[in-house]
Amino acid sequence: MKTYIVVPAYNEERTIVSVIRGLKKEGYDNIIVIDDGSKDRTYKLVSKENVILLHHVFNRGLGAALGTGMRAAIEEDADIIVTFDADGQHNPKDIRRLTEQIKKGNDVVIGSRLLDTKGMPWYRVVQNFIGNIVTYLLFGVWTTDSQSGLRAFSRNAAQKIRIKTNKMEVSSEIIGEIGRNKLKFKEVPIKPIYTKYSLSKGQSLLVGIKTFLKLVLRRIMG
Amino acid sequence: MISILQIVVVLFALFALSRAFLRFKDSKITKKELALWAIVWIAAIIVILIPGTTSIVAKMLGVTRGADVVVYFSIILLFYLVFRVYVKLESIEQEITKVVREVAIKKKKK
Repeated sequence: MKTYIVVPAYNEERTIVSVIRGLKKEGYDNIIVIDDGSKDRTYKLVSKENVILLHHVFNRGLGAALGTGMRAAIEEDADIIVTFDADGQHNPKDIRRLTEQIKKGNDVVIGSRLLDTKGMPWYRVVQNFIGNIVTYLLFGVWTTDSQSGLRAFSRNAAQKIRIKTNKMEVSSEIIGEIGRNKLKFKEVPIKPIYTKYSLSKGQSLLVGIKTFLKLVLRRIMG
Repeated sequence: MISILQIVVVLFALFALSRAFLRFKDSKITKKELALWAIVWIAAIIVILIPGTTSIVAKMLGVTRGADVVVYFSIILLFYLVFRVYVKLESIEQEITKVVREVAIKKKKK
């Protein structure tokens, strides 16, 4: 089974190289990095690493980058596609727990940071909980961590999921697509690595509200 | 007695109506959209020339003043237009993403 790791990156020059090397150290050689129109040295740094590199001419947002990465992975004949954040908050060792569940016949597996909230700042717990409620109300699928960036998809699931939204709302959209396509879905606990840097990259309240409005629109427009 | 304000508004409405027709002829807007604009501007002309009409509508809707009805309808129209612009913008955003994605995949670097 060929596993591809999709890493969307926007202005991640501080972490991207160590994230790539960390993945390789765990034996994941098929890495697809999407430079989402970064203004820093992300593209330059990644082009020196031995990975598949895709470059968005303009910054299009997380959803767009994930869409590009998943499509590239499908074209590479990936059997399992894993999405992995570029900010260094995920532990490459956690990937195996997700891919194992795909091999057991699940279509989508999400690494949940909230099955065990130890180490997560309380406001993040609250923020994620709100995200989960919104996702449930709009799409009817309950998750403990709808906003997690560590996910695994079977090839079949990746082909069925249609990503339309461009920005942060993609996380909830994917959950919605799981429900719409009646995909077999499982959550496994993961341990995020919280650093000052990775925490600064999350969604602010304003972005959260915008995300909410976009999701409502996505739900209405279909 | 026709006031200057009435003349100005009617002229503007006629101008806007003619623009809508021209845009329809260039097939920039659909028949439906043309109909919407025609209704809006013809209603504006009627209301400004015969102010009494708003009172009739107001009574029908249970609003006290005719002028209020005009304001209510204007707000509804504005909301609708803003919503449409928002939806249109969203679809343009999606199209830009498609273009950016195609370019990215064509220029893939291994």
